Amino acid sequence: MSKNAIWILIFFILLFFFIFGFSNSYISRNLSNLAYIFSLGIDKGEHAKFKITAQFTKNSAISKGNSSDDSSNFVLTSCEADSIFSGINLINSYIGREVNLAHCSVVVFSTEIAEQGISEEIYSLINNEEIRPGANLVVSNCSAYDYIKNVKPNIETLTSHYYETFSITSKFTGYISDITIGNFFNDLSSKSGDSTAILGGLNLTARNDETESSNNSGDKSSSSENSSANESSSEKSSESKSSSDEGTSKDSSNSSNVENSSNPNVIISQDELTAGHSSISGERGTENLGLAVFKNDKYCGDLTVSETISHLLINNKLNSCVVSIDNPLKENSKMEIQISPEKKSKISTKIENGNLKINVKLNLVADIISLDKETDYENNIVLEKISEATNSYFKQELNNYFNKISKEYNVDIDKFCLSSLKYFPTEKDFNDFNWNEKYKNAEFTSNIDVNVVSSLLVTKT
Amino acid sequence: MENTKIGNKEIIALLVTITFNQLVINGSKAILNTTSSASLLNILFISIIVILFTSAICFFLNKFSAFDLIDISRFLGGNFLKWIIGLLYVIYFIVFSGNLLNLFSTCLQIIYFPVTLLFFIRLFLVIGAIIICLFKNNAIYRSTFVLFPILIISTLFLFISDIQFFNVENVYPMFGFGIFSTFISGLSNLLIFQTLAYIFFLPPMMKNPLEIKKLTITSIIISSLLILLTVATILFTFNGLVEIDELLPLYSAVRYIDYGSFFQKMNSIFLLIWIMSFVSYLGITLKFSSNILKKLFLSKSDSIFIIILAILLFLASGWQENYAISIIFTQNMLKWFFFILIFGISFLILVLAYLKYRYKTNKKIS
Repeated sequence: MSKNAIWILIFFILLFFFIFGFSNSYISRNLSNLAYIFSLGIDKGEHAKFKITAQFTKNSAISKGNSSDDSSNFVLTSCEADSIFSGINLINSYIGREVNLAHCSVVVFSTEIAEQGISEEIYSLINNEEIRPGANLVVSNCSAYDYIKNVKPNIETLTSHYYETFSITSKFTGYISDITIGNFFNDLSSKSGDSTAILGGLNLTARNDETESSNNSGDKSSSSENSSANESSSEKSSESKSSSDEGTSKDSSNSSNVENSSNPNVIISQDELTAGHSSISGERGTENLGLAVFKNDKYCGDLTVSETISHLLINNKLNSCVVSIDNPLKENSKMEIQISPEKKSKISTKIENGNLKINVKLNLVADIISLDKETDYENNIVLEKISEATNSYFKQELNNYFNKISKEYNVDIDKFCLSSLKYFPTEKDFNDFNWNEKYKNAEFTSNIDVNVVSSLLVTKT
Repeated sequence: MENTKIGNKEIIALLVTITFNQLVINGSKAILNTTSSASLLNILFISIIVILFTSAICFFLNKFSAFDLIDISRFLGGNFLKWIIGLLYVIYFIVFSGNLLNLFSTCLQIIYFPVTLLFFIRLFLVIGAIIICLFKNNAIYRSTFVLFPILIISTLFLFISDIQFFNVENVYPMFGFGIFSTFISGLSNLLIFQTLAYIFFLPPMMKNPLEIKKLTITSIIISSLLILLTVATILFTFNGLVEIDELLPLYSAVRYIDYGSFFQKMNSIFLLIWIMSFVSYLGITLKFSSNILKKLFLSKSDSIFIIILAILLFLASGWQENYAISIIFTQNMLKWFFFILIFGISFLILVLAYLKYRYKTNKKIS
């Protein structure tokens, strides 16, 4: 046998050997054997620790890009289990394909679960190779099941495209922040700050629908006790309504308060507005407004949209947003200002006599959006007055924000801790300082410089 | 006729590739674990030490022109010392790269081949290394040179892509766990510069042995910059004072790269580059080890040694029961093996051989 023939023989033996060795991994990851989850919801279970909800999109829907009836392209499956991955396993057996998290864009936790702490779940998700750290993290003040059920794309062709808008929306509205499970994991795994999540809820249309369905299911409950879907919907809708009644998601567990939910309160003011309370009506039944704040891994409260704007400004995560300030030119009226950062914010901390002093410097540029009659917006005095009013508005907003995060929640979601690390040569020195206790009593100051440039196209009315 | 000498560029590429693999698989993790926020300071410190040490090695090697450590050992202590040093280095190269093979194939299994036996993954990498080694005309060094710019570009790309997540304040507290851990116990991070072990065997392979100092220092500086960039990427991307230990921190940083919906899951490309680079590293190790055996046995061909060493390498990668044992083995055994062999025995041989050489030269003159 020639030398070449031996090499060819060796080549084929090796080829066969590796085909045999690697085919299992290939077969298990073959596209036709996979079912991709687009969003994953985690609620408190009735019979087990969690109720896991997985949203799949039918393969045909992806290939056609058909949006005529997107809800028919969904497959929403839920089950109860004691851990996320045992739940996914159960769903796996039902779907008949291997469930894959590689395209999971959103992970939704209900506030009820988030209050108990979600570190184990986040660590488990990050530990999984399939899920991307860029998947958004939502804490919904309705049930995660309801949140996912009501996600229907409006303008987008696919639901997955809607999820991709989260990052864009946060930059030009300032009403949410683009929080991903990767960000959350980083915050959770470090001692240098606390974390947040996007606060989600149902919009007015969905809230009304839920109220109607809960009333109907209440009427029929005696005759259709074994209808599990209705049961779930009824229970969850009552949860979501109770949360809207109380104005705080912490009360979502109080599901007995159904009669009040028939009249969901609608908040208009930016200072109080959070998800699940807006006046938004529309086909897509979900809304994301504000942030859910975590102390360590436990959900401890919400930030309203105006507090979220403050948070984003401090963290340089905002491109522009519109705020409503007291009109300095006309009593008892408001004017809309579009603001955007001129320079990056600066956080500086000082430690004086063991006390913490934190200063935040914001440089903003503003444009006037709403105009009055007979005002010259090219007049420097007018612009200065508006600048001062905007300045004092933000000063007040930041004061409220600082009070809320330090005194009320005692959380460091802006990573003020990092700017103070330079005072400590070693980690031991920092630990000895007892940051958490000092932060609670920290003195906050803010330097805000707002430069109102002009109105937009109309300069004089 | 086969071309057996290596050009200057290939030398820089192979030395950087060796350190790069160490860095990807467990070097960056070890640096961050031992020095926390003082990692960058520690890298600067150990880089300076390595540059000084390399200068010293090159000074002594230059005195013996195209001799490697085996030849110098023979000059100093005859065949006995030559065999001892030769075997020690072969054992070191095989055990160390075997352990690294175990670590890397475990990571690959977790990430991409969950239902493939570790045996197949290890075998795949080893066979790749054998094939590349058996090709003539220094194919191993040439392929490493082709891969070298890709390694540099991918590291820069990773750094630039993750800049959006950077928080430069993660560099504080300046001294991390303390001055002792940064500058004294942090010396254990010298392990990342595996290149040092290979420098001793370079002179006979080089086209220009007298340029060894220039080339090795250049490669150490490039390696240090790569380490600095990589560790900075991890340190700045993930918050300071991190309490979590990850399998491949660099892979975690790669997963953050996101260029909209068009370029997603770029981690696959990085993993492919790392696989190619690791096969190159295994090939270089097999080639160097077989060169040592060739010299010990005064053989003309190294093919048989490559195959025998590859089998030993494969076996050395299989005894560890799990990933944790490989890490413990690196920290408790291989680390000391590295320091004793490279910083202790080898350096001592160079110094003593130089003194003997001086003594003999002076005697001749007188």
